Amino acid sequence: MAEAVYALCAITSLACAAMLLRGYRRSRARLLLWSSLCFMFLFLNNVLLFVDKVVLPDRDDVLGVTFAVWRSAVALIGIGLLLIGLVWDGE
Amino acid sequence: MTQAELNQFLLGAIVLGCGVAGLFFLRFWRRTRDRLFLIFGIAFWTLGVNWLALSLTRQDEVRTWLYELRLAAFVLILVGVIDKNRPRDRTSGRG
Amino acid sequence: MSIIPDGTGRTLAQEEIPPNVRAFLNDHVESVVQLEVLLLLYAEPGRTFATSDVVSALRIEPGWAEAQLSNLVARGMLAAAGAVGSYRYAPRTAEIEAAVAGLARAYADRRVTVIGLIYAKPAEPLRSFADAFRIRRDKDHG
Repeated sequence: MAEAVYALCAITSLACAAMLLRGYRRSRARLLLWSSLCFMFLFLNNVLLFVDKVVLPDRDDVLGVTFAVWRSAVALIGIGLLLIGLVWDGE
Repeated sequence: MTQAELNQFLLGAIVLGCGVAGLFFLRFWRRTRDRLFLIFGIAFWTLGVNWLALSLTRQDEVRTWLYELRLAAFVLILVGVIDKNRPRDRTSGRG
Repeated sequence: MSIIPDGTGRTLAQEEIPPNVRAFLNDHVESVVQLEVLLLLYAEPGRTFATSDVVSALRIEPGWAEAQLSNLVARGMLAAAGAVGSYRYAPRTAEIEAAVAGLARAYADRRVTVIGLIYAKPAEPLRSFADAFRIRRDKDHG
């Protein structure tokens, strides 16, 4: 059940990233590029969540950094990129 | 700083980021009256609440309902996308 | 401007212009002058126009007319007709042909709305953002 949830979130993020990237290619509106990158990082965040809870449930860290920090850092980068786009290119 | 402390800091930043992003989307909704922005705004606020709850609780105990918040946010986004692609039945002309 | 309350942010008048015409305006038409030059040549498809014909018909400067004409050639709507400085209406694709025909009709019936569509770029990135989530690439920019 949990696996399905994480997978759905990951797929949705990836789909949004793809749609926004395609939209960026069509319109050259930079907001779409930033948003697409955001959803790519959210996709990574969901993948890491899946890996953390489903694939490697017994491991706590990778390369000395805890899963929690990896996930948070990735999500923060994504949200940060989105904010840059919203503030700078949201017109 | 321990990794747990670092994580708390990161989560705090994420929550604030989601809050601001949601505000932007709601502002865009007000400007364009396009439902999609309302939906994205609520979705990002929901994600923010998800990460807020994650930072305030000890994950292991309350895992299940927590990820339902994440699920709700992404389902909302899916709803927005589907809504965008529904054929417009009320307007005149094609499309 | 009456916005249709269906959540998509369109206006009623814009809705009545066909989607392919709206897309054409969005992609190719940058000014009313350009539109008028195009429709001038469209009105007489068999005729070869010299730049001076366009200048006197529309009362614009030769340099400006020349720029519009070559731009329209580059976009595949006109063709250079042999002699330097002569042009005729020659749409490169059937799509363009249909769109220009629709545009001519729309401009005759709803001049103000068409002009509004040319210049109104309200929150353009936002419209592109919302349009990105339209899965089918229908030529509908709303």
